[in-house]
Amino acid sequence: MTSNRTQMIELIEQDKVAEHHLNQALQLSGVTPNTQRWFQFVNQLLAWFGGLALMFSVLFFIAYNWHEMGRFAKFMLVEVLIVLSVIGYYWLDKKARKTQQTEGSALSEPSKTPSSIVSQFKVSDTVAKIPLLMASIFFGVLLALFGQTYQTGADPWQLFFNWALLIIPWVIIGRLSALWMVWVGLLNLAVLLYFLEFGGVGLFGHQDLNALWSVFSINAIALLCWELMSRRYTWLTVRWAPRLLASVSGYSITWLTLLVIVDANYIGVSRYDLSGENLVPVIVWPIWVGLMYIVYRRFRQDLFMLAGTLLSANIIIISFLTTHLLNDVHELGFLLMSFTTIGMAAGSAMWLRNINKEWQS
Amino acid sequence: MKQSLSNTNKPIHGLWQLLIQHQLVMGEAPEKTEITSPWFVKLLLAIAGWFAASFFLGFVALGLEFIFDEDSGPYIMGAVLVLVAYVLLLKIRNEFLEHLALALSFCGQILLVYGFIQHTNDDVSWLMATVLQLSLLFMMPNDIHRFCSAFIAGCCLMVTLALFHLPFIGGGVVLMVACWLLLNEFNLSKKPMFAGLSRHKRPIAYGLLLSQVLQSSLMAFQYHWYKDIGASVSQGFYTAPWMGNVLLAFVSLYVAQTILSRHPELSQKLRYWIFAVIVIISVLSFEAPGINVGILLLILGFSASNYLLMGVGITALLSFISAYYYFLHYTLFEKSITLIVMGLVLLGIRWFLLKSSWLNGAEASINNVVKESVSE
Repeated sequence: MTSNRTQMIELIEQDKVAEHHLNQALQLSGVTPNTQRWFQFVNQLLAWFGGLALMFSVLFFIAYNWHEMGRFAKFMLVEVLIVLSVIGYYWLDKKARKTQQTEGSALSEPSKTPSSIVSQFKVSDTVAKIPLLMASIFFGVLLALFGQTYQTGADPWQLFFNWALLIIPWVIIGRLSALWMVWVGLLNLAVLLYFLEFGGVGLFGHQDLNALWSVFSINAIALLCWELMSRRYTWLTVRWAPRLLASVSGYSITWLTLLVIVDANYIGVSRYDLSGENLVPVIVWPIWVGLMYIVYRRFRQDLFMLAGTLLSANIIIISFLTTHLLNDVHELGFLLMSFTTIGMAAGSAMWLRNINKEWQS
Repeated sequence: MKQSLSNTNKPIHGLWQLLIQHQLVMGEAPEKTEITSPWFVKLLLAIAGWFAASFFLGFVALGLEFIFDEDSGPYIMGAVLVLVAYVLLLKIRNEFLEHLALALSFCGQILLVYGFIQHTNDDVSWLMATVLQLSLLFMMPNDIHRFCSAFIAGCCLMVTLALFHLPFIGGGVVLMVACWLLLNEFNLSKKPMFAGLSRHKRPIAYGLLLSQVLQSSLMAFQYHWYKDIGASVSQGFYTAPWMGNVLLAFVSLYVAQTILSRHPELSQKLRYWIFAVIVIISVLSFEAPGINVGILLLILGFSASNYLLMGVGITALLSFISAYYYFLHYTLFEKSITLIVMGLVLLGIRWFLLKSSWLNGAEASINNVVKESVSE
């Protein structure tokens, strides 16, 4: 559905709104927020930004490793902050539920005003979860401090893996998209660091290949789970998170396929050598493209996902043609590549526009 | 399917009916306009245009090598390509030719800049590149081209000013223009000279904004990028680092003032408080300018339901805070103190807003204004 903002832009550009009515029309359509929505926004902005600034300050402070402060004082600082954050979550969550109940009862009685500024400035459900996000990050800081103080000799990947493992209960009860994405990010980081440390271990012969395949698998599985679960849980309906997961998994599989096309001898992949492990991306990439098309064209309409899939297809086809044309027909190859790129981009844009039109009709 | 087709114009007609009821629109119901591509499709096309241009440049460099034999060769070829692109964009409404025009123009621009580099020194080359991009921004009748020209013009202007010993001025100037365009995005100019351009100010604003975000947040790993390009900082008044921060603070105040002017129901006392908060945040982010830029983008985006801008703001903030960790200019301890003070101040302001009595007063005065407008 076209947003009110887009509709208002169309009306203004068709000179349907007189200049002296412009501000009123924009406010009535909700494009420019009224005072109450501004207060609500400022409330969220201050809470989120204040909380995150405190969280990063602790992270920076522990990383500084200030010698004037004893190790027990440092441990106490982080542990107290974790406890305070959890208590803060419990307290704010309780207040948020109370606010929701009050608003619910106010809505059932039309005589009361449901959205007064003061009530909007009270704790919302999202704001209540900020301390839990903070606690999850502080927990990682605690693990890092432990490693820093006692020189445990643990590998860096273990820090992120244990961190991800130990915050699972908070991630589950938090029901916050951002917290889940932090968790997936920690898993990605642990896997990347693991393969940087132990290059030869894994299904494939090179650390880069192992890392890319692992990142692809983690994010593809996470995307699948997200899309399936979002049918059941309303808090998972935000689109930025699955789009981010799809972008990371798409980037990985596209890069893996590119390695078969371009000269990648440095990791043991010879160009067009489709034997052994080189064959895997050639099989998996088309399946990934096909699944993305079917899912986001038929089952869950999402133009961003289709555009990303098309971008991957364009990159693979152009790279394939480039390796042939530029070697064989030189300067004419450049001209042909230029026209091919334009043709594919124009075709992609037209196709996406037609789909968008079909969905909006 | 039949049912959904019958509702083709429903959303815009719903809003139209609402506006008609309040006598805020005039004339016949609007025509259904052509569906435009979302931002990510346009971005994809802009990137593809540059790729196609680089391939075309390869063809020019290898196939038409003779143009580099003469001093004027790159200028003539570059100007011809840009002109052909202009004519194509002006006259033809064909998707393939439109993108061909973009690629030709980008290739022509590279040739022109190559000519500048061959015949002038660094300072003049960057200045001429800025002038070229600003001219194309006004001239080219295509939004993707306007966005690219604005983005490159913003970057070139910042580098040019850095080479002229003003590295901390460019960012503020570019941000100010972008904010002015976005805050007036719904106001169409009646002057014939600007009437056409005023309908296309968004891509220009986005391009300029992105160049500033690139400098302040996304490229913050190179905090002293101006030193990498050989620019030196003299000790003059206008070149002092704090000048850039002061300019950013002025831009924030300008944005706040413009948005507040749309809400006459707010009391003067509240306005003073908001200005004070803006000044506090600006001063606290003197050592971390990316924070001020990120917050500004969030506010600008919210002021016009522009979620793309808000997304850029969040990305800029996260990117900046990651880069901030590696800034060598300050120790981690100093950075930690900056962030802790900022966090406590922001949470303190929120607590004050929740507890203070004047919020209830503000609510009462707003409710009075609403009641008066309803009774009218």
